[in-house]
Amino acid sequence: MSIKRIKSFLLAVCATAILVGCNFEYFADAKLNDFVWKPSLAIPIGELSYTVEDLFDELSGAGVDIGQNSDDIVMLTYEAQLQSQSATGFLTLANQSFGQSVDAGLNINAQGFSSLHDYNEVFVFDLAATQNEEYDSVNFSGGNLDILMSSELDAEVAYTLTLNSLIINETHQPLVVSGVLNPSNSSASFTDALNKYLGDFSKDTNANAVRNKIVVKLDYQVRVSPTSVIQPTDGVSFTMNLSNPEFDLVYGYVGERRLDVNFELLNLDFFDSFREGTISFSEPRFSFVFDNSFGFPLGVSFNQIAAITQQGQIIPLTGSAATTPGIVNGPLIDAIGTNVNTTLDLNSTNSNLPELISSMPKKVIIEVNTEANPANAPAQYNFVDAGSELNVGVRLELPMIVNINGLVSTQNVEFDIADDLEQAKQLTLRLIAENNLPLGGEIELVFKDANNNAVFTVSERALFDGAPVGSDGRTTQATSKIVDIHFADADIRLLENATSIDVITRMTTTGAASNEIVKFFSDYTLKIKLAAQADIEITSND
Amino acid sequence: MKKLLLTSLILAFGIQLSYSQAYFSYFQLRELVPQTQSLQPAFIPNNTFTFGLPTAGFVAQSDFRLRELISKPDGDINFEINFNVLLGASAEINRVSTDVTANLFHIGYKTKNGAFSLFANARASVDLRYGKDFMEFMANGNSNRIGGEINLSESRVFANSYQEIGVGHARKFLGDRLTVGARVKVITGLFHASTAEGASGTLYTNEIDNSWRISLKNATVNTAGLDLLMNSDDYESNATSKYAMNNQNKSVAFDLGAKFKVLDWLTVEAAMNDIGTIKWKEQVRNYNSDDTTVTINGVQLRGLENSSEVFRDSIENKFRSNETQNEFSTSLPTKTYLAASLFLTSKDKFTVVAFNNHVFKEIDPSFAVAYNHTVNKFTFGLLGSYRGPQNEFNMGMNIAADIGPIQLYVATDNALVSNKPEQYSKFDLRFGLNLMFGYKKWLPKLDIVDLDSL
Repeated sequence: MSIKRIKSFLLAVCATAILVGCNFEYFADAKLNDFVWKPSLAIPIGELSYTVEDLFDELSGAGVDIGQNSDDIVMLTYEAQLQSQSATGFLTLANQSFGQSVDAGLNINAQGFSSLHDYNEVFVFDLAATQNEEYDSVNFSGGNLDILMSSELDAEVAYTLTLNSLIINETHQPLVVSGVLNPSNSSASFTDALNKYLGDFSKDTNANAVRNKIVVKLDYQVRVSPTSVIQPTDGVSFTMNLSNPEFDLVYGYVGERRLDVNFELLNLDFFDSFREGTISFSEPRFSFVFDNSFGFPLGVSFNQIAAITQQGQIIPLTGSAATTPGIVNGPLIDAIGTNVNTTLDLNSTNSNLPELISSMPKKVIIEVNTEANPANAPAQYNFVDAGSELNVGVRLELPMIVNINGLVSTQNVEFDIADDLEQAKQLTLRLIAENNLPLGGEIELVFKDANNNAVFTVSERALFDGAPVGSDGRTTQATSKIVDIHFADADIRLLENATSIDVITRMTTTGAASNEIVKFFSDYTLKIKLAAQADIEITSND
Repeated sequence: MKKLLLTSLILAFGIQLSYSQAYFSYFQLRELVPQTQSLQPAFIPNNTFTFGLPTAGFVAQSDFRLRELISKPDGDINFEINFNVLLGASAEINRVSTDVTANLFHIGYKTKNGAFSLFANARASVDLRYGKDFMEFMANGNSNRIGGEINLSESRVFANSYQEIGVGHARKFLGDRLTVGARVKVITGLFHASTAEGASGTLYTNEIDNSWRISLKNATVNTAGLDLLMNSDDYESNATSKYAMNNQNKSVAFDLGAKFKVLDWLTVEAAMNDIGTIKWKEQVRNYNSDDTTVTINGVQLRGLENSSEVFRDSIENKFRSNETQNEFSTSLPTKTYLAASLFLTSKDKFTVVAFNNHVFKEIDPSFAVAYNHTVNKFTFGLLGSYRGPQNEFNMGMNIAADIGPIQLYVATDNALVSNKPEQYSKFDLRFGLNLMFGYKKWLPKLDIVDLDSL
């Protein structure tokens, strides 16, 4: 075979093989679909870490302060102000009006010559009292003083009124009013503001200690003319009015008057979030806190304290605290302007308070009577400052020494990741709880749409177990629990419509069934790690 | 867009290299085609003067077939990219590689004892090596490895482009039994991206809380020239062309080859090409992450706002990374050919070839058995190549013929690729055209007429 023949043969074979062998059927009419990436990713999401305070943080919205007591036990504290009593509301000075007429005792009928007749009189008046108050002194801050002096004598009368009970603040001298009356001008008046004076009602005419006394000294001289005609009953008179008196400071004794601390309704909203189950506080304390700057003691008695449960049941307070009046002290005379704080406690030893609180009341009715200078209080010199005030508050302290059994709490939380679920086709949410609280929890999730309709529900399941409790009251070891919640594709599509989640938690303390009481120490934590295993689908045209 | 993507993928596959990047069939033209000096420097042409016109060749191969890259779901006529299919096709270690070589010119001159050449090439290659774990992650994420580790340490990237201009010389010794050749090349590096040597990374997924423990070591990606492309707005309009024409990323490299006629009917040869290192000095960017082992646990969820940002920040803050502009050196992807040729007659030979690409400093050769029939200025050959158990057996062919002073040649390792190309994982083609002069001077002057040949 020639070379040319060989070449031609080989080339023909190759060309035929290549041409006949062309087959692009695989690519015929085919397009490339959108690129779809469909991995299944196992990822950590993060951690929810709760202290005991955090767990009950929702209650802070209802005015509960969450702290700890000296034993490091978490304590819920609720405080409310019941009432304030100001000095002006408590004590009002009555208007005072005094007067006296005196006969000169002269019988003169144009005697034809002039003569002088001098007189000295001292009068003591009692202050008008409404509730047995007795004042030693009053530092006036307002009101008016009106004095009217008149004469019936047909003669000139020169007079001097000395008011030993009204001390001029500037001079510290008694008020002296003097003048001359005559038949053509038979009366004279004197008016002044009371705030210039200190009322000193503590001395009688002989400077002996008394109360509520006003001492007035009248000196006058009758200047009889030759033509004067005077009957024996003719004389002089004066009247004195203290109108609308106000005070800066009152000393003495305010009497046994009542203060207005009456019917109060205390709203305890923080129990509202618990819709079922029980919670029993072992050592609750309900304190009335009196903050008193009045200078006298108060007697306190509880007419009525009762809890109104969410169902409307009324549970009255019973026990010794309900029947034994308490004493609220006031500052002593050397501590004017200061407050004395007195706390009257209701607790498990003097009342049935645990029963009241464990009923998870919605409201508490409080009716308290207070009375100044009660008979069973030590005697105390009284004063009332214009700024004196009695503030009455209540403080409910709930140390978390409790038994919780099936207590259900519902919280609605925003669910704003619906858009992010679009690419998820399957999702397994893993919750890993590490818990050293003596509290177990079961959880139910109700996903709701914007109209508050449930679109998907994760049925109730145990989320974390209560830690066991040792003999010292502390938990001995943390418990761990893993919960997987699976969402199929159809479930996830439903979740895309959700806007919020009702998180329904049912809590039970360790040993609750056997009435075991557990303590929640402030260093306890509940950690919930969240992880997910998600089948996602990302398309190139997304 | 889809067409563009499809075209790109097919092109990528087409340009894609096999790991070995072997031009087996082209190698068989080393008796006639001067440009094969790039594979075997110990080449001495049969003519005095050669002028090679610009030409190009490429090889692309992977450890998966085209139908595994663009697969068809059951009952669907259209393609999809399905990482699960790719995972099914993956071995423990997988390689994808592409090599493109453009021969800008080649001038050859033959002397009595050898030959000289002057040449210039533009070359580009991309080598990707990944472990099965990488594809497992792409296909299934990490859910199948909860409580286990995904090891990405097997994954490497080496992308290189450069231009070279050089001279070559081959010379005969031992009475023509030994031919030794060498080429010296001035290399100018253009664009580069590679993972640092010893780079490793693992991802362990905790079986309880799915937390990720990520370990990184030598996590550096060195690049050169890419900033010109990616941030072109930061440069003058002609900056890229100026850089491509001349820059400081210069080096010298060598090709060495030898062949020895052991017996009249047996020749053995060896060649090692692209021996050298490029020191990248200009337009260098290093993206570094400190050696570290971090655990990603998620974030504190209470009070969380802007969750996406917080997640991203929390992860970024775990790693200390920076960008530097430190010079670095990379070895050229050296390639080795070992061959033994058995001459049945003076015109017919069988050759066994082994080839290895040292880009990742590994020995994982591929093999070919070839037959060539050569008569004067014509050769035709067939060969079969084998790259390992995970790849198909390829049938190649080559042919070179002179028509007057014009030499045409074409070679491919997979001549059957046009018949259902989706079933193949390799595609290559070398072709070109040379002007060849001065054959007669070197024709043997026969004293005795071989009557049989007449």
